[in-house]
Amino acid sequence: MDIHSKKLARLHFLKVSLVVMFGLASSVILTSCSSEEEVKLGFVGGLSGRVSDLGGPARNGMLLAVEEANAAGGIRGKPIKTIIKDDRQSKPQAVKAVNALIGNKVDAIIGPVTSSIAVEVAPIATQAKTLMMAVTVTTNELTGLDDYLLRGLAPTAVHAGEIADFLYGQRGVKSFSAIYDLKNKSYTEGWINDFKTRFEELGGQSKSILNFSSGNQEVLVPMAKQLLEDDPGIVLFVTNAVDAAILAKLVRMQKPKVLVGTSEWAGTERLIELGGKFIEGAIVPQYIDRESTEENYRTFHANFVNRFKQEPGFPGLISYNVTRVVIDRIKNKANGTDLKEAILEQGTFPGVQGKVQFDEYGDAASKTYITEVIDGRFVVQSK
Amino acid sequence: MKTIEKKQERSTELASELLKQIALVAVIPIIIIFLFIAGELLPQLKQNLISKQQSIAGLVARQTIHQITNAEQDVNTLFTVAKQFPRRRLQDVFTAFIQDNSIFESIYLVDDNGTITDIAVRDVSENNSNALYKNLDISKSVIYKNDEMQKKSGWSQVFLSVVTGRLSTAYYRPVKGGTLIAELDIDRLPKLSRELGKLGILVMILDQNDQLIAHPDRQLSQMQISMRDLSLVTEYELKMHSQAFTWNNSDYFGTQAPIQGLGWSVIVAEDATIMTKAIYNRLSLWFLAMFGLLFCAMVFAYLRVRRFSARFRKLGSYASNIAHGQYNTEPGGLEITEFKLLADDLVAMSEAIQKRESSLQSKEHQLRKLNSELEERVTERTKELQATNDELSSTISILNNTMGQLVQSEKLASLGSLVAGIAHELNTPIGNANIASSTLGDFANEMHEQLLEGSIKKSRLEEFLNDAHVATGITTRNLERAAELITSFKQVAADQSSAQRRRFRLKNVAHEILITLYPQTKKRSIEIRNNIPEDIQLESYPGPLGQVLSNLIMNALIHGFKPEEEGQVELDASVDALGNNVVIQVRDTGQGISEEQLARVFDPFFTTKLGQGGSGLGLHICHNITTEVLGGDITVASSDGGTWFTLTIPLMAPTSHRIKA
Repeated sequence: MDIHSKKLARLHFLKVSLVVMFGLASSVILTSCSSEEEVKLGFVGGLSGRVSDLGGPARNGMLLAVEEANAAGGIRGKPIKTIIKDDRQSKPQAVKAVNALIGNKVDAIIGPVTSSIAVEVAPIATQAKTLMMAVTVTTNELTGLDDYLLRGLAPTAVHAGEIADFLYGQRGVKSFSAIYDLKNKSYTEGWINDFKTRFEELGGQSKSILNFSSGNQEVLVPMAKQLLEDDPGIVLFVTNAVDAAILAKLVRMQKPKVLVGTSEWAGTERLIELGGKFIEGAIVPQYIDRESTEENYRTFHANFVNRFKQEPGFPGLISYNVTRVVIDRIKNKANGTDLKEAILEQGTFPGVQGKVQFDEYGDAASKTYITEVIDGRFVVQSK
Repeated sequence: MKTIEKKQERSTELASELLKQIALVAVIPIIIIFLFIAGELLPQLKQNLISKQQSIAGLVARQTIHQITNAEQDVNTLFTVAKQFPRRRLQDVFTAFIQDNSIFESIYLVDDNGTITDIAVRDVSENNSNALYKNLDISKSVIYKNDEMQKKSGWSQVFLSVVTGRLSTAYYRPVKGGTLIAELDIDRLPKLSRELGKLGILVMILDQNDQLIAHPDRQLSQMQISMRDLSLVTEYELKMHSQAFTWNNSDYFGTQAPIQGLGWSVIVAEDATIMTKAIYNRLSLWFLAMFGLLFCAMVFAYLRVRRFSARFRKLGSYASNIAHGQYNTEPGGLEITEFKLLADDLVAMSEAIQKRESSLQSKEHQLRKLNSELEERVTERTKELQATNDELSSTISILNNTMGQLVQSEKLASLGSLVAGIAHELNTPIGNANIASSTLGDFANEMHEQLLEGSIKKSRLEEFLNDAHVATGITTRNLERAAELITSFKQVAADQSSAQRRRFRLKNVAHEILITLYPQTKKRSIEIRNNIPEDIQLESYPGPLGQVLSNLIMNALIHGFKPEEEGQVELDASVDALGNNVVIQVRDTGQGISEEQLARVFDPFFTTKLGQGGSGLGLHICHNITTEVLGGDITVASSDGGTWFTLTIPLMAPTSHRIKA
């Protein structure tokens, strides 16, 4: 009896203590767990360094689209989250970033912005079945692949061909020399090859075709001399804008009247800023018509500049377009449908400049606007 | 045992009850303090946080301005130095400046057309920098604002440097024939930001376009991130302000402060949960202390309660011992005054119980003794009572005998008086007859002598004959009278002494009784009327009935009237409607009987004439005879106008009866 009651008392003591402690503890710890389903969009692209003139506006274009969608109520009442990763134009960094995004269970990834990175990370996205919507990736290496990488621009083959036609046909350029950046080989080599093929088809001549790795500008000094050796009709810079600006200066310091041109890659605001008078008269193909007076474009442009204090350029616009496509499909696709399939099934979407149209492999059709730099502005020469 | 256990299940243990109470007492203030702190601490913490952030922001701003000012100073010094050199040596001066541990990445002179004329770049050879950057036209660059630059020195917005490929800001200073521009990698600026970043405080610097130029994560500083979407930034109006905001999917609470002179701003932010964390940090210690305290209190309480309950149990077992009659134990080791008092009380109680018990025992003993005594006494008394009872019984029987004797003697007495009366009555006629006969004898002797003498004369003879005739007449009448008397007496006496049952006329019996009573009644002025009808015949006991009637009449004479008073006694009778009973009434016109006496007139030995010859048995005998012998009953009623007795007796007397009289 006595032992029994002692046990009872001990038990009571334990019980009372536990209840009190638990009550206190639970009153302190306010747990807030929200594991509700939310839409997450990842971004991967070069945001720092010399290629950040692609990545920055591309990231901003994506942010603008997301912010507009969120302002309109988000998806199913929840704001879309964004996760931004900088690939620093480095392949290991890009792989790491994409894996992190996939690990974060993003619904889709906007980016990357350069072809060499895209070639590297496309298999990862495909394996994870995570849609990757590349922005300014035009490498031919990814053309016709049924992978999870879609892109907002047509492959270089289309664009390079057009500029070859323009130069040979309209400007009477009969020969060219070129320099390309091995850091973005997937794009630059493809572009050079496409251009060369088409230009030679037309009867043009290719002179010296050089390459370098961006980051070491000093090598450009001797290369600029080489580019002019065979007196080419045009010197093409298949590089980023900064390098193109330096090259333009280097070339034109030697031969002020030489015609220079760039690929679409360099066709950003930075080219004019840094090129100054040396880039005047340069032939620069663009994916967008910067001078467009279309209502859609002006509104977009105004919003973008107001929001980011910078020009959207083609990366901003294309990124904005493709992000809207992705958001539209996430919002409207039937439950359980694969996002990529949903986009390809729809195929055509409204865009800021014309429609965004995907082929069966997920490559969007895109126009080339060939511009000439006149008084520090890209002036469209052919549409 | 089982019932005890059940009881315990239903009741609460002292230990648990006390523990609960103590826990409650401990928890309530904890909760109150918690609420108080939560209500008080939060705003205070917020204020503290804001003050802290503001001072950090100020510090960072000052540090940045300080660095910038130093940098400006460097360029100004360079400018002063450069003026002392010829124009062609400018390149050398620049190179020396950049190599000489300057904070700047590059320095160049831009002519009025925006063309770089002289330039030195860190880590780039003079030749290469000249080849690459000299003559570059930066007139379209975002940093080149010719009008402004020619007027005054200042700092450009943040831009992507063409020479370093990194985000930079540039200090510009107008000089003769152009502008001196020195590029500064913004990464070099806010070391404090990184240092503070390690402490979990996010310090960010924004340029005039609200682009992020400094972040503890250096990579982010270079990503040209526009911060214009932050609510904090949207509401920034060039003065210090604090608020919560969301950035990069995280919630922050931050303060934005301007960096004077640059148009930049600094944001000092901390995780929005910082306040919760701060509270948690403060409270956790406090709670730990409270928990500890509570735990200690509970443990202490538990131990105390155990000791308490041990004491209670000790007291309980002591009480139970007392209950079981073991008084020799002692409750010890209680220590607490109340318990001691209780123990003392228990001891006192025990002693009192002992005392009471012993006194009870002695009392019980006494009681037992008394009881046995009582029993004895009762037996004794019973015996005594039995004896008394026997005595009484015998007394009663003696009394009964005595009463019988008394009745008998009464009867005899009445008979005696009757005899005396009769004798007296007889005396007169017999005496008269005697005188008449003796007188006649004398006359006869006288005649005889005269005859012998011959002197008889006829007249004399005739006179003698006449006298003889009168004398015989007197004698005859007196003897007849005597005979009548004797007959009546004989009848009454026979009736009364033998109590024979016979058939008789009521009126005759009454008449005979009146005759026998005549000697007593004749001296009185009371008229006795016999109104009994002739035709009432009874088969009953005339003797006892006569005795009742004579008693009632004599009672009326003796008690109803004063000696010389005139009055009437009336006898009356009637047969009742059914013809079974006769109702005889004896009424007098006397003074009546008082009410209290009336109820007792039939009681034996009740008399108002005690010592005057009344035995007090007369009416009792009447009642006895009426009920026992005659099988009827007798009632009495009285008023001022007299008393009347009513006898109701059956015409046919019951046969089986006991004749007492």
